[in-house]
Amino acid sequence: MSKLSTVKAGDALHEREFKPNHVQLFLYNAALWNAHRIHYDTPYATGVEGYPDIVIDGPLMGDWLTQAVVEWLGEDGTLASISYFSSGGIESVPRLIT
Amino acid sequence: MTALLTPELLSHIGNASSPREELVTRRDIRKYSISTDQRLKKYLEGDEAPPMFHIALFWDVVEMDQLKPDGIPVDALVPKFPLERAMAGGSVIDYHRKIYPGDELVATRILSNMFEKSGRQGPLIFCEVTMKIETAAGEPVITQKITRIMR
Repeated sequence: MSKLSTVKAGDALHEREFKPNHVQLFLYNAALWNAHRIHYDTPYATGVEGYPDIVIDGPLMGDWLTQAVVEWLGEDGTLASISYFSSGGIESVPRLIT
Repeated sequence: MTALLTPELLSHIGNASSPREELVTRRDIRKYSISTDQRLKKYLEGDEAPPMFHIALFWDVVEMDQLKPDGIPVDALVPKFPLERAMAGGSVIDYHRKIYPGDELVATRILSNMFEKSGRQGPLIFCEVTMKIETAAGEPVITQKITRIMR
């Protein structure tokens, strides 16, 4: 039976734990060509912008959300639309579960 | 409430960027997939792009002297706001077609909305940009509304 036939709004789909580190944030921002200093420059992120540490990119967390959905969905369908909103900056390197 | 967003700033709503073309390569898909911790083989080997790959494909590639002190490039589409510290807000993404190596894609960005709200630590400006991605032949690929917050 297709997963889509039983799921309803509000159901928890799939848990996946991500443990980002500074190397991953460097590689991600290099892949984008994103030079925003809050993502790799600790003295700038803490001293100038007032964050406790460097900040995980919002779109990276958005990607993790899509991974949780796509991995749960498997071959039962195709991702047609997704929306997410950050409620605040998340500093490296907490455990994040989507 | 329009204390920060003057009529002049609001007049920029509806501005559009010139279309940008990019070629999708297997190498770029692989680099993106590894950096985002993908687990599916089709993404890690670059046979198909993960759903958020277009973010990397169409991130502005600018020279270093075009970066502001915070490392963000000057975006000609968006006016200078009275609040300058930027943070990611969110996205609404509609997928029309998957992306594969060899695809030639075209993206157009439109400044679709801006408004302000009061946050816990002061005023916030929300700036919405809608990006439409199509194939070179005009087939819809992705539509994304991106919200950026200035504080």
